[in-house]
Amino acid sequence: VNQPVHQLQSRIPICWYEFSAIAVVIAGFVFLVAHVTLNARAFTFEDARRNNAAERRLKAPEVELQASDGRQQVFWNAAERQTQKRPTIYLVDFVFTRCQTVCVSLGTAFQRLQRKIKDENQIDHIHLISISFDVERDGPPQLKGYADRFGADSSTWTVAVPSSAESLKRLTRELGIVVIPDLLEGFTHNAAIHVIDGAGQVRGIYDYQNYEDAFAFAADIHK
Amino acid sequence: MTNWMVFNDRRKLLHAISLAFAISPCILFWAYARTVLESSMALHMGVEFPWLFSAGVALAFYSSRFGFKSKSLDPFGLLGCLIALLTTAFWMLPVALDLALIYPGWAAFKYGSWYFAGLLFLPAWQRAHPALKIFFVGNQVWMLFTVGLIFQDLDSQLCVSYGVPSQQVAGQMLVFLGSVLACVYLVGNIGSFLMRERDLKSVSIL
Repeated sequence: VNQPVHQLQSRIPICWYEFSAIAVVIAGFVFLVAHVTLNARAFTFEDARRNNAAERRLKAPEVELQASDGRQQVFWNAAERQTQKRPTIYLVDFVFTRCQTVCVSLGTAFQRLQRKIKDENQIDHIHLISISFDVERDGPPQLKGYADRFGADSSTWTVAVPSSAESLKRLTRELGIVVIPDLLEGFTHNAAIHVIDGAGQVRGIYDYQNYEDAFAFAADIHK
Repeated sequence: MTNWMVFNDRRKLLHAISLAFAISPCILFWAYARTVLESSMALHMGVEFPWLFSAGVALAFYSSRFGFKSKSLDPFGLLGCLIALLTTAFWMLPVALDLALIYPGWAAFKYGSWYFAGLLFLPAWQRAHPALKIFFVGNQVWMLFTVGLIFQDLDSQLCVSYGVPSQQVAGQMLVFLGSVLACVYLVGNIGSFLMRERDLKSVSIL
């Protein structure tokens, strides 16, 4: 108020610069938030992954896995699905065999699902896969130990590890699986069940507590 | 003369400290330092974020001796305060935290955005009107408290990279930071509030 008029006038154009910059910053912020939250539909990374799966924008790459019996196998490969009348649907989880927490719950959930697959004769197109992301420590003996612990029958449930660190990297990156080593030589990781069709398309992602919903969804796909 | 020399030495020391603090985030090029700092959500949000921001502030302080100013673009300090506010808001999103932990590009954006926000903040704060300062501090405190309480109350895991216990500690850390910010602002400005009150009273008596 006490400033001379000419000083106030000289500040007016500068104001416009500032307000233009503010408009750009706010627009950039809104764009960025809309981008990372998928237009305010997903505020967590897991929500975003599940949205992408529901919209068929998440695909599992064809990677070679080494099973607990030592066999190398590629699941959801194109050649195999052409020969099948009723393509296999895979329920896939990610574990490491030393894990004493969430992987035990995942193992128990798969154990129950295995029993269900065997009990229901109609459902023979669902296969369970537990993939270890600890490629350094989990070889066939460790995988077999995990499979035996939960009574995994290899005809319905494969416990496997990617055949190389590169394959693991491809798989986790494209599926958005987060595996972070902690300071106790363990890992922090996603604990979800992925429903993947014969083409490698992720159809749905479920919390491990909702394993029955994952199973029902998988059973319905090729009914 | 002696006093001037002491003052000059203190100022030099302050500049040296601020330069050292400004370049301290270079430690984050060391993977082990990142692993330790980002191993828990509380350290990530409660230590790494304020540290990067403060390092930016330190660089702004250090560069002020060379007469570097952003006054032409931000004469009222609104832009610098707004960028600091929006940067805080963005990195409170759980999805943003996960992205920064998974993808190196997002991690670089995180380090850069906090540092840049701090760099612009100091000159903006020095120019800002008291009303803008109260608005800024109020919003930051409100945001830190709200997010902190949500993190503490939720039983579901928000970040795939951190478990629920880590999330709850991070919530406590954010509430603590909000309280510290509010206290520092109030203590730092209580004198000017009281003086303004006294001035107003004297005006009313007149």
